[in-house]
Amino acid sequence: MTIDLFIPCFVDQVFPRTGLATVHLLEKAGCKVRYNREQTCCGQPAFNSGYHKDAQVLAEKFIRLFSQSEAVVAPSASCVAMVRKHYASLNFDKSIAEEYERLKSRVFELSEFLVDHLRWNDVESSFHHKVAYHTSCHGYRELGIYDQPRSLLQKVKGIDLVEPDDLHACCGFGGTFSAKFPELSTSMGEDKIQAVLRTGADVITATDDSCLMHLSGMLQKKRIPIKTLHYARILAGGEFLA
Amino acid sequence: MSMRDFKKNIKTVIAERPDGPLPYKKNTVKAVRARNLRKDEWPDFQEKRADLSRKRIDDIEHLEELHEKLREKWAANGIIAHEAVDAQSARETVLNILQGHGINKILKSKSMLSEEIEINPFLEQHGIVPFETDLGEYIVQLRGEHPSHITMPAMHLTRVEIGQLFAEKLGIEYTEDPSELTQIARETLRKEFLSSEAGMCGVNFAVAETGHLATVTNEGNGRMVTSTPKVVIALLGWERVTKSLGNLSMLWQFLARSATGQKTTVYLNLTHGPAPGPVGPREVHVIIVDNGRKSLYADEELRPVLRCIRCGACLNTCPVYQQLGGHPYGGVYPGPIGKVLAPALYGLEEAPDHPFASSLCGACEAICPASIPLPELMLLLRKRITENIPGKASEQKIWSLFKYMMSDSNRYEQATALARTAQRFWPGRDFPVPGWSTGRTSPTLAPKAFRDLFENRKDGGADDE
Repeated sequence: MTIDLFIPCFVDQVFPRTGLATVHLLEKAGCKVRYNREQTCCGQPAFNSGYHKDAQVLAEKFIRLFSQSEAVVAPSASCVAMVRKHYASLNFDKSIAEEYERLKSRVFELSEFLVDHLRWNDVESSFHHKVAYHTSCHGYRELGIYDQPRSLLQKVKGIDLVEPDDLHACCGFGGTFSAKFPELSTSMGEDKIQAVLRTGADVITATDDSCLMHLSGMLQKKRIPIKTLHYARILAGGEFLA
Repeated sequence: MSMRDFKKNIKTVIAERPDGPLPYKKNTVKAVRARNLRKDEWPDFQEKRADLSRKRIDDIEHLEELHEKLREKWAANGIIAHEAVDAQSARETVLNILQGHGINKILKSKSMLSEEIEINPFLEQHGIVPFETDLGEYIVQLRGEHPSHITMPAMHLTRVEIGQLFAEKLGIEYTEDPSELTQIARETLRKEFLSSEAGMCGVNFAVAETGHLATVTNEGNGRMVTSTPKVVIALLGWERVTKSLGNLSMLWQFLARSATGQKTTVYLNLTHGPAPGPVGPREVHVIIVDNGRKSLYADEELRPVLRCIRCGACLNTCPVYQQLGGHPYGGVYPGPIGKVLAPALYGLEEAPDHPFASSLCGACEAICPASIPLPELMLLLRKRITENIPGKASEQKIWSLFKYMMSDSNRYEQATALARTAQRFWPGRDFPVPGWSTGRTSPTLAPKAFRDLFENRKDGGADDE
C-alpha cells in the first residue's frame, strides 16, 4: 500500500525526527511511503483564529495535493481532526467539496492507521523509562484515539507506561490560544506538569508534538528534567530518540 | 468585572489568586467526579443522552406551537401570562405586579434569568426588597456579589469565608461548620417565608401538555417561595419549554446528574396554578422572557445553544473555568456556555474575547447532556467577530501573510530557511515570541527540516541530522 505522508509544518521544521520515525514505522509495516514537498500547513492556526477565508486557501491546497492519494497519514491528531472534521465548515465550491468528501475518510493519524487499518503491532523497540501518556484533546475527543497509541506503546520493551491524574484534561496549548492567553495556557500546563510529576515519570508522550512543544517549553523554563517525546519516536526507538 | 474586560480580568485573577487549592477548582472537579460516577450507572448512557438531545431539538423546533399550547393550558389553569421582549420590559412587568398589590418585599428562589434581567437592583431602586432564599444566592447577596456559577452560586468561596460573612452580617458567633451554617440560614429564612406576600422563582421547564411550571431545588426554598405567598411570579426563558411530563422526567434526571451527580434534585416543584383553597397563592404570573432568545432561534447556526438546560456541567469540566471561577467572565453566564451565550445574546462587541478564551479541548461538548457543539459554536463566533468587529480585524495582516507564505511551498521553504539562519545568531536560540515566552522557552527549528532529511534519505544518504 502506498502512503502519502502529511508532515505538519511545525513537525517538519521543529520535530523532523517525528516525521522520520513515522516513515520508519510505516515502512516497517510494509507500506511504500511518499512525501510531496509541495505540502505546507493544513490551515488550522488561521481557522481557529477566526480567519476562515485564509484557512480555506490552505485547505483547498491540501485537498488538491492529496486528492489522488490512497491513504494520507500524519503524526498529528490535531491536524488530522482539522482536515477530517473542521474542513466541513469551510465554504468550498462544489468540485472541491466533492473531492473533500472523497478524501476525508482516507486521512489518518499514524496510530489509527497502524492499529485500526493495518492491524500492525510488530513493535520491536525498547525504552527503559517511566512514561506518562498524555491524551491530546483533538485526538481523544474528535478522533476517538486512545487505545491505539497505548496498545503500541505497551509493546515497547522496558517501558513503564503510566497515566497522570485528570488524564483527559487539556494541557493548555490550544494553538494561538497559548499566545493570546499565556497566563491561562501556562496555568493549565502547570496542572498537567504537576499531575505528571506525581506519577514519577521522566518522559511525557502524546500523539501531538504541539502539546509536547508547550509542555517542554514550560519544563525547560522551570528546569524540570522531564523529556517529551512523540510516541512514534519511542516506537521507532534507536536513532529516533536522540 | 465586565464582559468586555474578560481578557484583562483573566490576567488580574491569575496574578492575584492565592497559592494553594482554589475553591472553584476543588468544587468543579468534585462535581465532575460525581457526575461521572452517575454516568457509569447507566450502561446505555450515550443512547439516553442522544435521546435527550433529540427531545431538546424537537422542543426547540416546535417552540411556537408549544407556546400556543401553554397559553391555552395556563388560561385554563388560571395562570396569568406576560411577555417581555427584553430585560427592561421584564423588570417593569414584575414591578407593576408588585406595586399593584402594594407589596414591598419579594422572596426569590434561585433564577439565573432574574440575574440576567438584573431584577434585584431595579427593585431596590423602587423601594422593594428582593430577598434571596437559595443558600448560595443568599450568601452571594450578603456579600454584594453575583453568582460565580449557574448552579452553584457561591462555589468560589471557602467555608471559612462563609463563616466570616455570617458572623459579620448576621451577628452570630463564628462557625465554619457547613451544617451549622445551613441551620443558621434556615432559621433566618424561615421567618421570611412565613411572613412573605410575594415570591419569585425561575422555571427550569414549562410543560406544554399540562401547563406545569417545573422548578428544581435542593433546599425546598423553591416550594416555600411558590406555595406560601399570595402572589407568585415565575420567570421563564422563552426556550425553556418541553412537550410533555415524560420529557420532563428525563430532563430532570439529566439536569441533576449532570450538575451535581445526584440522581434527582431533592425537590421538584410543579406549579399548576393558584391555590384552590384558602392556603397558598391567589395569583400566579408567568413572565416569558425573550431578551435575545428569539433572534438566537432565527440564527440557524447558533440555534443549538437554545438546547441548553443550564446544568453547569460544562463549567465544571472546563479547564479554563477551573482556573478562573466565574466572575472574570463578567455578565451572568460564565464557562463554555457563557462564551457562546454572552456574545450571542448581548452582541459580539460586548464579549469579543469570550469565544477566543478556549483551547478548544472539547471537554464541554463531551459532557453536555444536550450535546451542544460548544467548540464549533465558539469557532463560528470567532469567525463572526474577526469579520465584524473592527478592532479584531487587526490580526488580518498576520493571517494574510501566513496564508501567503503557506500557500506556496517555495515561499514556505525560503521563509523557514531565513528563520533558520537568523536563529543561528540568536543567543541561546530562545527567540522571544510575544505571548508564548511567558513561562515557556521557544521551540527551536531543527538544523534540517523533515523535507530535506526525507530527500537525502531517498538519495541513499543517512537519515541523521
